[in-house]
Amino acid sequence: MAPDNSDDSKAQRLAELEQRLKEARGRGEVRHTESPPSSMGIAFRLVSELLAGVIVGGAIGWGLDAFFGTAPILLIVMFLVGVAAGFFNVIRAAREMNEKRPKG
Amino acid sequence: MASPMEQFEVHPIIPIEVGGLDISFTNASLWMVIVVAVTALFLTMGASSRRLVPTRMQSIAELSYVFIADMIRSAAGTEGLKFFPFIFTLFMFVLFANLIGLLPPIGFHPFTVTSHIAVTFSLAFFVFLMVIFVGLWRHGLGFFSLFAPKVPFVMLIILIPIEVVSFLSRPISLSVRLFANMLAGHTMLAVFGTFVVALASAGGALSFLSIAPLLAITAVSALEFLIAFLQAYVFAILTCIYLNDALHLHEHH
Repeated sequence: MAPDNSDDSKAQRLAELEQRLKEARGRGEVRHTESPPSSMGIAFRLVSELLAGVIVGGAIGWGLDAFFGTAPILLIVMFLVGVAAGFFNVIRAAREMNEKRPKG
Repeated sequence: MASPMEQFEVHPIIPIEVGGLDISFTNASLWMVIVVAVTALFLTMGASSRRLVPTRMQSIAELSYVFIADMIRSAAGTEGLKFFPFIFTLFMFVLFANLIGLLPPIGFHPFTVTSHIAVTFSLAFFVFLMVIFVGLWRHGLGFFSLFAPKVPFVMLIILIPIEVVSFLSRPISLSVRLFANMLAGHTMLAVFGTFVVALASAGGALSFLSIAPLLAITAVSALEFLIAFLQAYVFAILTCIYLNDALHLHEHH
């Protein structure tokens, strides 16, 4: 049988395909292509977030101290702020990871 | 014996000096040119046949395109698609730089440009600048409300500096992660490689033992391929997430 190429039947076949795809997805045959990140990837992500906060905070403190000549007060203050920012980053990253994980 | 860090050394190929500045064309520049050329070749060749039923090449090119488009849509919304060219270029450059760095030495040693923080930080810094410009362009000064979460006023005194530092730390974490991954992986490969050679040339029962680091190097190589892809993906998706912040401030997708 030659394939019917009128617009109506095309639309119908497309709808059928959509339906079959939906069923296959429901059965778990067509899997989501995105694989969960590896544990090492997660660890690297979190560590770099924490470190970046501390480094940036410390660097800003050091720079401001050199500028105002108040060493080491601002270094200490900004270092602590940096630690807090690092933890903020980590919590935010972890929350993102949890959101992405499929439920159940 | 060669040091495991030797593979990261930058040598000038064509020395150029302009006004006291050393802007020589180095092996790093050469490999960056190679990465860009291979990426461009791969994508144009993949797209050139334009068949309805794609060839393998075309399929890979199309898949990478769709992959990034989907990623941007889910992380930054449809508005984020305006930045598709930027993010796609970033992803392909990092991916190909990582993969080309993993090629075995064929007479010369492939250079991993992403194992240098100068390269990754430049990329991350462009992302950082773009996020600021997009934020200012979309929201004007309202962009700075990104630093002020909705909390009582007293808390803001502590929270604003923390948020600012957290924002400034983004390009650092983005670049350090990529460069540290590449540096660690390639150093590990080189160290295991020297173990194989040292044990094999020791003679007797010891050369028999060289099979252990050889197996390890095989496993690490496989892992490195995964990491090469994963880090390119992470770099791109974080760019999308940061972009989403700039586009939509406190909303989430």
